[in-house]
Amino acid sequence: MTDPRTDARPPETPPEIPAGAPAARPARTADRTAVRRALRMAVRRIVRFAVSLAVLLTASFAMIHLIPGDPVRASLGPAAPIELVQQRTAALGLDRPLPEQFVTYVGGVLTGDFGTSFLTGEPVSEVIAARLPNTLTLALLATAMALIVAVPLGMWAAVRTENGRNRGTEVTFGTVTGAAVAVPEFLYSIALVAVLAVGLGWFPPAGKDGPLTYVLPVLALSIGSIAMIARITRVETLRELGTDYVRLARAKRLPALRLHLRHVLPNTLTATLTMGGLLLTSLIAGSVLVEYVFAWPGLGQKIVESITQKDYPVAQGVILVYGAIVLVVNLVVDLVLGALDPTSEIKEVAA
Amino acid sequence: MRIEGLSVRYGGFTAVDDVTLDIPDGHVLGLVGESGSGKSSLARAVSGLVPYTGRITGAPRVQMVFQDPYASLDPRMTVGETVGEGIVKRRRATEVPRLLGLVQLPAELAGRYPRELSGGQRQRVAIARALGGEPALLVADEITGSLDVSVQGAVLNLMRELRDELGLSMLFISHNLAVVRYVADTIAVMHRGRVVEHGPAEQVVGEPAHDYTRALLAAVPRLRG
Amino acid sequence: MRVDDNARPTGQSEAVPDEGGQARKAASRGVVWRSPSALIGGVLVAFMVVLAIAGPLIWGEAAERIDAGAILQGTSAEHPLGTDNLGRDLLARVLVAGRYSLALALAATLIGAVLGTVLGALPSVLPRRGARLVTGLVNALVAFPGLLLAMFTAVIAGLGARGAVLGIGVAIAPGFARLTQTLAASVAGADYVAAARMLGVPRRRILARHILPNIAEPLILTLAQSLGGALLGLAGMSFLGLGVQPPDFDWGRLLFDGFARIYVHPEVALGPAALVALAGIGFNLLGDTLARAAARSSAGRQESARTEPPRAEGEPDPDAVLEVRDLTVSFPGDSTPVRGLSLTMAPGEIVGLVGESGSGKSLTAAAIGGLVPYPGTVTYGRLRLGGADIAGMSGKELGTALAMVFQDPMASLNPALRVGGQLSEVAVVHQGMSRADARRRAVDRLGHVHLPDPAKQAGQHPHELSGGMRQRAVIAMGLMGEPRLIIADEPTTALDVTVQRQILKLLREVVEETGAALLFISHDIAVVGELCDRVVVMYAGRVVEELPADRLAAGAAHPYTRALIASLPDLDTDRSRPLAGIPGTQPAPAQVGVGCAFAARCALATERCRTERPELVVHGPHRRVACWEVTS
Repeated sequence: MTDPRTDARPPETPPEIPAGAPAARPARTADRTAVRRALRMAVRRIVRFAVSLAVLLTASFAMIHLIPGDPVRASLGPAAPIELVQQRTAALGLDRPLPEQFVTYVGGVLTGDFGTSFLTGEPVSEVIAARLPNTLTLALLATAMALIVAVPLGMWAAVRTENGRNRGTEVTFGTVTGAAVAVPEFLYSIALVAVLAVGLGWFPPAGKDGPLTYVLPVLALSIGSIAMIARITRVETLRELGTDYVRLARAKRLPALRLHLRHVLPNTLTATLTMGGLLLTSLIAGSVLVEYVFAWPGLGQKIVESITQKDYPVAQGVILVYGAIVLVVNLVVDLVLGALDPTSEIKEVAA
Repeated sequence: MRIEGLSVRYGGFTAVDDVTLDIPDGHVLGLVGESGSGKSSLARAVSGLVPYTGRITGAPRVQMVFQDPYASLDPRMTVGETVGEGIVKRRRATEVPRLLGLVQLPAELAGRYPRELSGGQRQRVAIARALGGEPALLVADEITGSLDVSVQGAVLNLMRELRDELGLSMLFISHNLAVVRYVADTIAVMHRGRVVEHGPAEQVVGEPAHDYTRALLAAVPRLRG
Repeated sequence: MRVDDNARPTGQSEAVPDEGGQARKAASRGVVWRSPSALIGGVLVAFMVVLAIAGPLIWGEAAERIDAGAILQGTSAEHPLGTDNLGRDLLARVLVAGRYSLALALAATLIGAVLGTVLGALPSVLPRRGARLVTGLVNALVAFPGLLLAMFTAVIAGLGARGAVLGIGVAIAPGFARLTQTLAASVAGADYVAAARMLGVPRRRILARHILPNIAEPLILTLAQSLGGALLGLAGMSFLGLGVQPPDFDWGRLLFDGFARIYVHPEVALGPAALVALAGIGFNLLGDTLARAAARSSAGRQESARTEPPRAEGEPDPDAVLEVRDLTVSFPGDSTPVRGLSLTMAPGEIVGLVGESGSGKSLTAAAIGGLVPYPGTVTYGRLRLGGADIAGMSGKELGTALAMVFQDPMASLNPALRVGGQLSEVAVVHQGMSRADARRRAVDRLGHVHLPDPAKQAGQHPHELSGGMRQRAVIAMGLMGEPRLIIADEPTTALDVTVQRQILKLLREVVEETGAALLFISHDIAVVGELCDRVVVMYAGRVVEELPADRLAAGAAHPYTRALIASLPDLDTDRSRPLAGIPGTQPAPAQVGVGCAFAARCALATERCRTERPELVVHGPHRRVACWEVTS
């Protein structure tokens, strides 16, 4: 139930679209309105991004303080001498008043200072700088692979199963992709290591050392996404195939290839792009487990290590970076979509 | 009932612009206009569904019947439950059959679900539900817009009978001038948020005063011969 | 605006879009449940439930039996999945761990569902500012990958099962909240909620009566999928060592232990991995099925008997632009929306095909254009366009000789392509024109349909044009070739009357200029009467009357045509008399009986009308009618 004031939409044709008005408003005004609307949308998105970033920063700051008890004591263990705990607490500034700590923390993050590791004394920023590129490479490769394989696959399935023809293909496609979506990345990883690396010895089982070592992690990371994107592409394509302009294009007897590539594909791109963005963020998260299995020197391996070993500054820094990447990717996708398709609001495709 | 200086704005867009209208008791005011003219916004403002500026006086109870009878009935409620919604529990058993009778539906329909009814029947159920709220003013927004012509006549007749029998005041909205002329006592023509002409139905149709009304009348398709 | 959707073949049953958005009329709940994914999902989930209940009872003891003589073994006859570092049998441990894994997943799902539903419902109860805050929070959280949220929570709550369950619960919550919000918002915006509000029904009651029942089903269905997600998430956490800690064990923990030995004994990791995967697949497939079952309609699917196409008698009419004999369109389930329709059109003739929704007029147009959607079957005795059999015409010939215009100009142009490009396409593909020539022709054609500044409009996207302008552009598209026939299916129904008038004028101009014939389909008999030369009235899939348009007002013979005209109020209708109407409803395409389809609603009907169908016979010059009472 929403308040009538909050869901007040014009029940009639929205003013922006001069629909059926006897005298269409001059095109120039329409142009300017569209540009202005696109700009307004972009500004809104950027503001939203800034707010989210602030919330994220606060949350990552709060994390260390929400840990029950004394995080330094928890990290160093019960046997650590009290002086060491006090010294470490003071070094971290944890004995200062909260507001002061917050200002120091935010100031540090903004200048690239994420603190130092409890365990190794290394600056967290260096740890991140060394590992982030490896994680990003993995996630980007997997995203590219997923899109390249899945979009044609989904379109093919849609064209073949349109209006319920080829029930067999539809059923097989639905069952196989439905099952493939349900298996998480780390199980693919384990299976790939067990069969292709340990069993058959075709690929190295772990590490990052030459092109061959990329194959299994990228594969493990992208199989589920391929299934997911193929499903979504099929749904989107089916919807497009049912539109009047596709009927009209068929009435014009356009060749099938032209029809699908020129009329259908561009209209599914909005959804595909949105998916691609969501995918990249979910793959960055999925890479945590994949990196762990393949001992990939990325952020994911580090975050697991830091959590199990209670190295809180590292965990805090890495989570902050992950969160920031997610926000940046979402912002970029939103802005690109806004530029591509100023008429429609972003389709929210639930992952 | 009186509408005075009513405006509806959505963001920077003014859908209804300073409209003043009178609806005497027992009168049917017809509202015509094309899409984007603001007629539906006016209906929603009068019904209290959208915020507005200006004053509406003398209409304590307003009920509304919507255009799409497929969207305006809760699919999970029976006809009886829908019609009895605004009625106190102890009177429901007697009121629901009476209301169904008013809209010329058999009382047995009370146990059915909307999906079992035709479009015309659904629209009657929606009208019965509105009557259950004992309205001083009934707002009918394009109520025959999604009905077939052969069904439309019966619904329009029903609206006229209800007016005659119950002395109901009505705000009757349609894009179809012929339909509005048939049902309404006075007609207000809306164009771009403003009422450009308001007068007795026959006069507006027979001797239109405003250019836009004339254009609208000229565009109405007619059978030849 | 009126939406006439009689291309929907099953008349009365509501077509419910499936995941593809295609109207799938024929699949019932039963069919959904018989699909392989439902079967696999159901069996797997049932297996998991049985395992959770019976596993610890049967293998509990074996799972804890320490055997110092059989430490860290691989596969053997005695231990199919090997043993762990205390010599315990891993197969038994895997089977026993099912209960704990499922129980934790259930707990996490419940936490997530409760948290999410509350978060999602809050905006409806909170004041505006608070509602926006919560909505914003949910939107921000949804964007974050669940695993990150889970890890964040686990850091705070501490390592172990409790932290992991809380973490996964928190990770599930935003999705639930979003779903609740979206569903609630869509229900809250429904007309029936507005009606309830006007009746003074209290907010609480609206929530309980209207909103909750209408969102509960999809929410509950989502639980199955969430359960699968929670199970996998927990397995992942335990696998990373962040979840269940010894001496407890779930599948993830067994995987953690097994993974350390994967280079030596891969099977010790593959066992638990397989069970986790199977459980995930099971819940996901079942969840898919549940979601689909809820979305499908309950119409049954039947195969219809194929009928032999009728043979057309007599010689083809050489002068006719369009000649249709015995056109029938049928769909599975004995649904025949178009029955034996015949129609001949001369060059330059404007024929109106008029009927109410469900009469089959739009499917007739689709059949002539070759656009009847699968699984519809089209049969005909003869279908000729411009003197040639349509079946033998190439795409090129058809693509230029036949032009179509649809109801919704907003939907008829591809939003992604510029107007000019969509027009010139036909010329490039079918007429072999160069791009530049095609574009010049497109601009010329756009000017022809009185689009102001055609060169500029050609460079614009459809959304930059008004509805009337778009319909002009669609007509111009049809004029790119040399159309012999233009089929316009409700081309003005979505437009305002003043715009409608302009489009009708344009259509007439086009016909006069090109000599093409125009088949104009409409529900509005007044529009048809005004525009057309000849009118063909359809009822329940058949033509019931054909007559010159100027005879409509006074000379219609068929009781249906007469009743239709009588129920149409015009600007001279006597306001003191009730409007005529037609009692009853048109039979659905699957329910048309043996006699005259209109008999049940006809005041003149006799016993003969109910048992014997009247044929369409000549009734005066240029007139045909199918009615016993008129012709006999």
